Amino acid sequence: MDIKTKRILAFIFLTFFIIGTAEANIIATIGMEGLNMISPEAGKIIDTIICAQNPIVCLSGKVMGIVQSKLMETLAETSPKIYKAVSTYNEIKSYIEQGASILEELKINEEGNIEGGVISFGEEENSIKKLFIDSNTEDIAISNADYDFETQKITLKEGGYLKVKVKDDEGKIQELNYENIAEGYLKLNESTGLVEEAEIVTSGDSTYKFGEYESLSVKEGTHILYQDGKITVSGKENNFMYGNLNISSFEESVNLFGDKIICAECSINEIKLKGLGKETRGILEQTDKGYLIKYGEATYKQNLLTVDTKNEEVLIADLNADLSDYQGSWLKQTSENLEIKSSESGSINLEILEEHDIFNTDAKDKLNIKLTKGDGLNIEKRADEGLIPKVIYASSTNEGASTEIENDHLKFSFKDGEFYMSPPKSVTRDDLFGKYQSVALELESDSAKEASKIRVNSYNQFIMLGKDNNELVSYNKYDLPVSSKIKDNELQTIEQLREKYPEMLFTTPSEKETMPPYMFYLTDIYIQENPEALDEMKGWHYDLGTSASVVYFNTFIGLEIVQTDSPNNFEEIRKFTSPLQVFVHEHEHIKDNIIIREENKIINSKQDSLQKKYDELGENCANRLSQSKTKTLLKDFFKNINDDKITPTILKSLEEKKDYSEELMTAYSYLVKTPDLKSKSNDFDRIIQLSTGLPSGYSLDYFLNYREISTTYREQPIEQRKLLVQSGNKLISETYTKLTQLAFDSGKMKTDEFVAIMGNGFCKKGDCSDKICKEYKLLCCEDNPSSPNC
Amino acid sequence: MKKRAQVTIFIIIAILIVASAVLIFSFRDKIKIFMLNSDPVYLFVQNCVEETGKDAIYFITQNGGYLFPPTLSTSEGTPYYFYNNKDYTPTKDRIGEEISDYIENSISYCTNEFTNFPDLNITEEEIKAKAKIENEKIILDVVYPLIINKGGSTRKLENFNNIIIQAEIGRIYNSIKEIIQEQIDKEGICLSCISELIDEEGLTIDMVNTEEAIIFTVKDKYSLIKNVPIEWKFANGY
Repeated sequence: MDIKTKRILAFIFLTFFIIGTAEANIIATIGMEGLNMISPEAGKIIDTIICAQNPIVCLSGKVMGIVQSKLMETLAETSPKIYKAVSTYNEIKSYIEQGASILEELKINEEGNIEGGVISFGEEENSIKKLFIDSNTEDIAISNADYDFETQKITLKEGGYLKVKVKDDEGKIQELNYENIAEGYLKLNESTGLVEEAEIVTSGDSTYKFGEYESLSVKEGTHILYQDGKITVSGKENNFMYGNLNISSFEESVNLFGDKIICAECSINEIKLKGLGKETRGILEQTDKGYLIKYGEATYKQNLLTVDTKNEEVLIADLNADLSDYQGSWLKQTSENLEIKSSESGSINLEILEEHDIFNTDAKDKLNIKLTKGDGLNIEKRADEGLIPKVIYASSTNEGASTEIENDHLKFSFKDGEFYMSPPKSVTRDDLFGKYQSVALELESDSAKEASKIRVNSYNQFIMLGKDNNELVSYNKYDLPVSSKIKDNELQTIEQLREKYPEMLFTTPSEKETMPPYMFYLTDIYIQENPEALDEMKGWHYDLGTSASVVYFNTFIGLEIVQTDSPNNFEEIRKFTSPLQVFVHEHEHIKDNIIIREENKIINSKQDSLQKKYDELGENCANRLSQSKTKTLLKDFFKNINDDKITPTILKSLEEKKDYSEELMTAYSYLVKTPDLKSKSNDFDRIIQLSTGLPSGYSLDYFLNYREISTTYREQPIEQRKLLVQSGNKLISETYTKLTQLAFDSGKMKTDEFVAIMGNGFCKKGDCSDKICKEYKLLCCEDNPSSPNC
Repeated sequence: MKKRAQVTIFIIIAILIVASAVLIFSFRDKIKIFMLNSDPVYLFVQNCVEETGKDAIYFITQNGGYLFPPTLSTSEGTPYYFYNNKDYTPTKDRIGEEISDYIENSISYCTNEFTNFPDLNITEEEIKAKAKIENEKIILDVVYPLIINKGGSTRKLENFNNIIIQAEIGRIYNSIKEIIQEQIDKEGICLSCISELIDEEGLTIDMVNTEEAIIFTVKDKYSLIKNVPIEWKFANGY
């Protein structure tokens, strides 16, 4: 081996050694002026092999034009690494010749790969697939875009685009377009050539596909971030399609994670999804059976589902989904039916919102349902039959299975096939804000063990019916009908009442007119049962508000009707069971005043007026207070109470005064308003009733104002008056017989009511004409001249 | 022949006298009642016992079995039968005593100082009543000593016994007791248990909520007092 040969071998060895030890190092750069080898040795090879052969494309170790294949073959034999670098250059040079430019020198490593630098593609479409050697794509085309080799990000300029052609599962070529991008970048996967990361803001309506996800169709101005396998969509007009899902976001952004959609608050087709609280986001997963709510609050057809734990996940099932083998909790609603079923280990939390198609709810209705461990409900609409929905409880045999239905303040539960009820709290004024109405429905069980059914009306009342539809249990404070008909449950607002009776003026205490709807229903029932009330009340300018206010119950009848405070307050003094009694009371006042008006037309009558009759009766009763037996009873009573505030005064009055009814009234009010003594007011009532003939402690007020006698008599239930007429206590029976007769004689009481109180055999004639005008004759005999009592 | 016929008549008369004496001796109590029943004062008082007894039954059932509310009552005076998961239902004997108290306290409002008998001078002594509750009736035994004076002759009435008022409050009581027992150790009000019980007995129940309690009213439309159904009221505190 001669010296020259040794030198060449040493050079080649050294060259390979140097290049070999600098693995992954940058060996060349590409700029607009050409390929520049970094090491002098590589430059010499370029000089030796390329420049010597083709000086046009090469000058002093720098390649400036596309190197032809013949020289490339030689280069490949001499130095594969330099060959790779020149190959890469040839590709870049072809882009440059089509209008691309190098914005930042491209850095070529020894593998011939570009590791850094930025190339800017012009308007002309360029295929860049060769830059992604391992890509499975059919083609990758780019226009008007910069490609940063270091970050692997494609930045599209105005009018720029990226097109990726791939074969789908059926072998058809599908073109994925990324255009209408105002700003942002796309990053392609080196091996697949598909977009693996992106952050873009759209400049027009567009459809994109990221990874294996469904295609995403968005509007102009949408911000899309695709990173780590998750798509985040946001923007001012945040409405987009994701596959077949129409998604709108109301706040922040929506995350798409394969079949999962995650958002703080968004709508997905018919479903509104949101997180629980400010810090969390709702999660929905699209499945082959419907939408699985994995977390958050989901509203579907006005069913609000709350999912906080994995056990509470619930599927909103497609209408045609076969759920026979589905193990999770689910809900399905058609136009006629709502089915809910909890899984064996899970539960469903459901709130029925306003305008629910099956339950026919409004904004003030409150209905919450919780099913646990296999229990289910099947709700039938029944509106076509004019009936309220029927809820059939599908019981489970799983241990711990239960169903809870909160219908305003009524709380029912079903356990082991039996109905339970939680003791309801009293309705207060505060309850008249927000949701305070019950939803009319019938509850039945599919269990053979439970034959009864529960019917709830719109007015917070329910009845329990036996297997023969006989009423067994009633929760019905105001004694309103609990009807299965929709029309009997519809009257909910004062507007409806005003529409029904336009001739009357209805007012409420507050501007918001928040009142329990039973008050409207009750008013309607009263007017229907007493149609004469419409005529009698219309045009009657007597304001009864003042007299009614003594019972803490501001009911105005006449030109104004129905004003009520909290329904509990009016029980303070008299033990009303229904506000209807207040209507009766006030209406009776109107009737009395009509009689006074008519009596005044008869001048110089020798007969007593009706009021005089009541005054006489009242005085007789009041006089009985001065009887020694009564005084003894009262003395013992107040001594027993021994209260500093009332006992001394009353004992003194009993000793010194003949008429001490005012002191008694004061003492009675004190008893009623003093919590520890309230129950004693009942004993006091009884003493007064037994002693005077009038029914309660309130009767004391009669003695101060006899105008209340007829009205307080009339407000008592018929059954109660019937019993008092027949009382073993002669004072009571005589007083009540006389009050009944006066009401009948004056035309205020119909024959039916008169007979019901006095007994079937009391009248000889069917119309009781033989008994009329016995006590009151003035107007009575004018109207009934043939009466034997006139 | 005529003489023999006379002897036969005498024998028959003698037999009748002896038989009457035996019958009178055997049924002397009933005959006494029969005689009393024809006494207007006795009839008047008996009627008052009956009427006041009916008032008492209605009043006492309406007040949860008490004349005056016990300590454990709502502020409205309705006694608790169920409170803190315990049964406070009064016993039948206790309710009987309350009915008796009512009659003792109230009968004078019916007899009204016997003003219906202006020609008699009637002096009343302390009345003692005893009410026994059976399933379908109440039996009243009243000791009400009355000294009746007319024109110098004096007689005394005292016992008004075995006055029966048909009212099935014993049966209603048994149902209520069962209802209360059913509530113990249950989470909430067991509507199924209640409805099953009352359906069997032909009763109905009204429930009303107050701030303190649920007020139950058990009604028996077939058991009437003065043609008005009995209503038995009590409170349950949960």
